[in-house]
Amino acid sequence: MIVPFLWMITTSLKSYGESMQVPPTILPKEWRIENYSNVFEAVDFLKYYINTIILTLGRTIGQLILCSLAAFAFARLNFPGKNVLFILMLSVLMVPAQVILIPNYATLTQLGWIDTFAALIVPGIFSAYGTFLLRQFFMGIPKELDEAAKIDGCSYFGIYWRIILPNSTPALTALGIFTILAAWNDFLWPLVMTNSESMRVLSVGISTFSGQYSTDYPLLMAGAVLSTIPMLLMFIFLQKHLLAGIALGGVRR
Amino acid sequence: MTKKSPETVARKKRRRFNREAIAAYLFIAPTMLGLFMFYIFPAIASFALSFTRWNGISTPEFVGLENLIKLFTDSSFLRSIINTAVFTFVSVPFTVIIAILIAVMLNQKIKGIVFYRTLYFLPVVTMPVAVGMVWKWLYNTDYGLINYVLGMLHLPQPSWLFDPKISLLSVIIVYIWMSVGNNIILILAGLQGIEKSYYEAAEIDGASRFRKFFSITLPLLTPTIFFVFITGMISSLQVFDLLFVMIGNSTALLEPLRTIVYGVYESGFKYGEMGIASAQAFILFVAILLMTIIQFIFQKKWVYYDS
Amino acid sequence: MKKSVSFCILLVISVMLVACSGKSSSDGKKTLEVALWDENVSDAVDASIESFEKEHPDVTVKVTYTPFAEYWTKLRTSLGGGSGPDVFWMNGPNFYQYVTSDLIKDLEPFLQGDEEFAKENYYPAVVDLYSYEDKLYAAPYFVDSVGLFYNKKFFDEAGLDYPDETWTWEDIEKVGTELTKPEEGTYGYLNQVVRNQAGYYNLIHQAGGYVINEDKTKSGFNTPEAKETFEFLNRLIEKKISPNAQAQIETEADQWFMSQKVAMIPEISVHAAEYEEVLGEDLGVAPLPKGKVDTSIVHGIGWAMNSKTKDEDLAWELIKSLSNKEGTTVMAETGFATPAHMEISKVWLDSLPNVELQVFLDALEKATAYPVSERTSEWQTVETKEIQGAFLGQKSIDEALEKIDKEMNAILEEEQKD
Repeated sequence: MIVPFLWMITTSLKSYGESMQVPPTILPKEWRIENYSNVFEAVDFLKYYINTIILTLGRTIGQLILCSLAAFAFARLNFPGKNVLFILMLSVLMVPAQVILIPNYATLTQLGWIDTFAALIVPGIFSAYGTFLLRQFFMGIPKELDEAAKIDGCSYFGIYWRIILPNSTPALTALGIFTILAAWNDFLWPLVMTNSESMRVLSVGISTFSGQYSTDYPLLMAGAVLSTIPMLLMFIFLQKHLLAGIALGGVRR
Repeated sequence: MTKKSPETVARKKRRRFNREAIAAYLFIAPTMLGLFMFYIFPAIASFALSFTRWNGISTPEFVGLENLIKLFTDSSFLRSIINTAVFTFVSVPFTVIIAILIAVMLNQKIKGIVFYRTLYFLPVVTMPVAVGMVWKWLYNTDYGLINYVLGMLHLPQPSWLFDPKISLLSVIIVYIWMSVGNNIILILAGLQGIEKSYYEAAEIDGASRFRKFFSITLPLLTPTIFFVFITGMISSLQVFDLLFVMIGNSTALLEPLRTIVYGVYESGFKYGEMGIASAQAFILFVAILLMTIIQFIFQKKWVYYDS
Repeated sequence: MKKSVSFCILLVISVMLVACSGKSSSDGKKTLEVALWDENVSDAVDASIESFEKEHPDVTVKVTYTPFAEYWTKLRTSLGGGSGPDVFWMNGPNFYQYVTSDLIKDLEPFLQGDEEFAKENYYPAVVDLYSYEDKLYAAPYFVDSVGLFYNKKFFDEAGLDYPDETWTWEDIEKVGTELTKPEEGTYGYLNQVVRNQAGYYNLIHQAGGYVINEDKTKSGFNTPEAKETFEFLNRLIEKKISPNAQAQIETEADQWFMSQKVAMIPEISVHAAEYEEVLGEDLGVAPLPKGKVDTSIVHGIGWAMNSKTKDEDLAWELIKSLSNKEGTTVMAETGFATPAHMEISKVWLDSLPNVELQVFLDALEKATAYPVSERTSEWQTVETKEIQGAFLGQKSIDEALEKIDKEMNAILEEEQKD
């Protein structure tokens, strides 16, 4: 489980020459901690961090809001065309990203969004996966709670806001974790839709250590470790919310 | 509540239906519009291109079914269909089953459990580049760790990535390793939705741990399992990144590992044949859609939504 | 109900705000965009851009570096999406495709009458590489040629003379055998059987053969010369002078050489700097041993102009700034690569004073351009698949060569029809 991660760390502390040796050495002969500061010198790593954080926050908040709204409708409301729209939405998942790259580039060029945060964030707040995930969970919440609220005169939005959301902490946390992770590590989209170094994100920045003929593995791994640690911290912090129970406050069977 | 006459109730019901529909449309509007603009519309445009020859820049040239015929008579493409199918049918069940078992174990509130949960989450956070590098080293025929250990136990040391008979399996193992963590998170979340009162009732009846798992946990977990299964199936049918990292520059390794999406990348971005690339993606799309619809129809038989 | 409506409206407004705030403000300046893939050259490129912007104060130049593995994907996407960089790097294998798809501009009209730029200043082989029907489509920037790198330690220990310009294929075999020590896991020579630019393309031409004929209509893989080449490569592996194909795929050539497990390795000039970093004084380089013909492969990078660029004259000025004497001098001094400009290439020699870089310049005089055609990608895939397959024991070499010949010719025929 942990071997690849340890390998990342040990490689990041080796010298370039040592990283190229076969058979590979396990522990570095000389510990090159300066590889980590070199990463910040070689490229504007701090900027990449900031850009990636903005991208991630934007997409995550957007998705949590939009997907939960749509999922609520699919899970709890009846309307004409519901099944067709649901399948249409799901079908989005079945299209490989490479296929829609060029049309989207053309669209974003028309909008003038290329090389801006708009290109990075806006398309990413619409998610079929997130909607599907939340719909499944919402469907598992007892309908009696809805009925009780309706009798009390609650609007649809009220049911959404007061019944469904509070009881979905585990699902929302799961979606949050996945969206954060996917946004943080997104590579192809930011690569194509941004150009300037000032707009670069971590995943693209790290990949520049891979040259045409040779790859600076120690730097690459150092960058990767620096990029991974925030994600680990995020998980450790959020994982207890995954296990939050259903907070009903008084309603019992 | 005062009794209402049947007509009033019926009228209210009709109106409420309309009100409900309008509200529903408003709820789904942002997401659906956004998905349409950035995903559905480009996809339709792309699929229309399946019937053309296009290099990405000049005007597309309509060629009708020529691309489809070319593909279905190409051994590489047919091979990619088989590989993709094998990949999915092996990796998905394993990923789901292993994830369920581990998630149940990780669902306890004992000391140090956070450490274990983080441990299983590590593969999910590790960058694909790093994952590829490390596993390539692990699988190295002469210097790799796996063969080193096998050698010490006097067991045969296969060429994990070179032997065409097992290279696909070797990559599947890496894929399962990478994906299990995702499913564990989802199932952990799903486990929380199961009302404790069910377990309490079972305890009173003297049910064993086993019984509780199979009669309570599993059935009530089916919506989550369904989700994990469908999304797992859809992603593994589109596997590409992992292969890209593990194949490197060796074309000889490619054939036993070629998947449909790899073909899309190769035709579209390496050879500049966008029409053929779109055609492959379209064929894949239709296959996935059919499989998904079938799954949805079948769900009535085994998925149990608590209500 | 009211709540949800207002909520949605709020959402739409905030999305639009984000979008508009992201738009970059135009300050009336013209912008030119440059795309390439190797950040190591940034000093040279920045210097050229600085002098260009001084001469054209109303223009800003933006540079985008994309990792090589994704460069072509991104380029294709941006050109396909209707915009793309004005000036960008082009390489041999992709050149023809971009010319015949009308993606890059013919530079001849710009050269005519331009006193600053003259084709004669650049190595002929590279000018050749980037010419189509005798018209130049990309301005040569830097070149790489092939040489024989060796580890002096091996030779000193065995009491043998270092390789020199007299060496032929026989010397590789003879001396290679003496330097191979199976018990220590070391080899005399790495035959690069899975690489073409550093490996078998050189040997095929040295045997008097060709990879693709002048008209680009026939494959040269099923000729006696090609067979001779691959039999030679095979012999080196069978006699254990070289690691076999599988070992070369699983472990990169660089790793073999830098781990001091191999005494000699034919490789391209760009590796000189990193080899020197690891091997220091033990690094030596000699001309590639010759076959019947004394030649080797040369490749290089050129600057191409987007055929849809908004200001072609300005783009041309930029290309000149990038590839002229001043621009490439900086490149030569940093030791990044050998400039394609013949005069300035000599400056490169000083970047690694302890290494005989002259070897690479000499090679340029007798070099053959890297073989390409419109669908290079396609037939190269067949080529590498078959050759690797043969050397991994899946088929005989003759079978592989026949298959390459057949499929490559079919592809070339398709090209003629386009």
